[in-house]
Amino acid sequence: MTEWEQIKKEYREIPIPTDGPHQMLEVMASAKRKRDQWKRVVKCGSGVAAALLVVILLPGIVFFNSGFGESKDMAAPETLFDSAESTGSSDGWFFATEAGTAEENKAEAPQSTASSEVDCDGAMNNVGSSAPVLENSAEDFSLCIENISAEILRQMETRMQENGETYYIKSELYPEGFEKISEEQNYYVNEDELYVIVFEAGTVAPEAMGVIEFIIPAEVAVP
Amino acid sequence: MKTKDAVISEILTTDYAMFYRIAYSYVRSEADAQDIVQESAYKAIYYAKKLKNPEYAKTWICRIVINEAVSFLRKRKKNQTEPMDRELACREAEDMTDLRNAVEKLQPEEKTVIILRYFEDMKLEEIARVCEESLSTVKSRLYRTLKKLKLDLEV
Repeated sequence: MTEWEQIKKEYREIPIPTDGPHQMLEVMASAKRKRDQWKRVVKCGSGVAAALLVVILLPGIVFFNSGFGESKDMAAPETLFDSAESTGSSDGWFFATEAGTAEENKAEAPQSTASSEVDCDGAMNNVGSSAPVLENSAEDFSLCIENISAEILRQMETRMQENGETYYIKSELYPEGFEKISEEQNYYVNEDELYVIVFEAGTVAPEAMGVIEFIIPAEVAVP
Repeated sequence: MKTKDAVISEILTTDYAMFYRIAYSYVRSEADAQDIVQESAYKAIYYAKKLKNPEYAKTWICRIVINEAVSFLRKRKKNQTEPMDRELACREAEDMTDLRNAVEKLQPEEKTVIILRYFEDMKLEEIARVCEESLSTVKSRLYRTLKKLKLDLEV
């Protein structure tokens, strides 16, 4: 055996510690926990921050409007704060919520809880939808997964035929292709109150195509 | 569709031995090599988002392992101030045959291409991805290193 072959042999025979892979699995689990803990904090934080922001701005808007009205309207903001003191609440922000402005706050807060992408550049291709009546909650979304997945596959086929685009669809040759979405799928709800499914670049199509979006017509997004 | 996490986890467990051997080739210590692979596994999961194409997960993880091993070596070199260690190193060097010694003393980039090409039988394109260099750079580096080692092998 030449010296080179000897060296190669020694390399290939380097003993592998038996508990190595097991310890590594623990490390990997801990990495996933640490990584996703920040995701949860950001989601909670952004929700709370959005609600707080609206609550903070609202009294300011009320005060601004009443500034144009009769002097008696000027009493309005003072009443708010007076009541805050009388109920013993040191946090005026919570009082503003109790004053019945909660509904307005909720309407302005971000809708989808399963996605962090709420600022996409509008619809890519309007698939001709009728007036939607959707209750946008996470439970509704998970019930529609089958139908939404089928719709996405349909749209992929259409785009491939009409635009010559490439999509990774599950097949025998490409088992890692797209078959259906999961509950953790990224999506947002657009101005027409339709689900827009979002795929990161490189996941269902070549990376050069960038982020991929599919608008789901209202009639499809039913359980 | 397999998630990035699933792809990365699968490769880490399936190819653990490969990652371990690569790390060991640099640090020559079982405990350190284990630490390096674990640290790399942690980073591979924590920064999973940075993996653009799951098809290249294996070379991406290789890159992490080699980076970890090389920075470990740099830190170890910095901390080695005691003359005892240097004496030990010299004695060990004399025991080694010329070729083995020469391979040990290669620069990290040179060692990397030798290990990946001749010990792990990686394709040149894969090595280029691991080293984040062009194919021609990898080829010339291999050729130069073989000349340095005075080996008459195919690039």
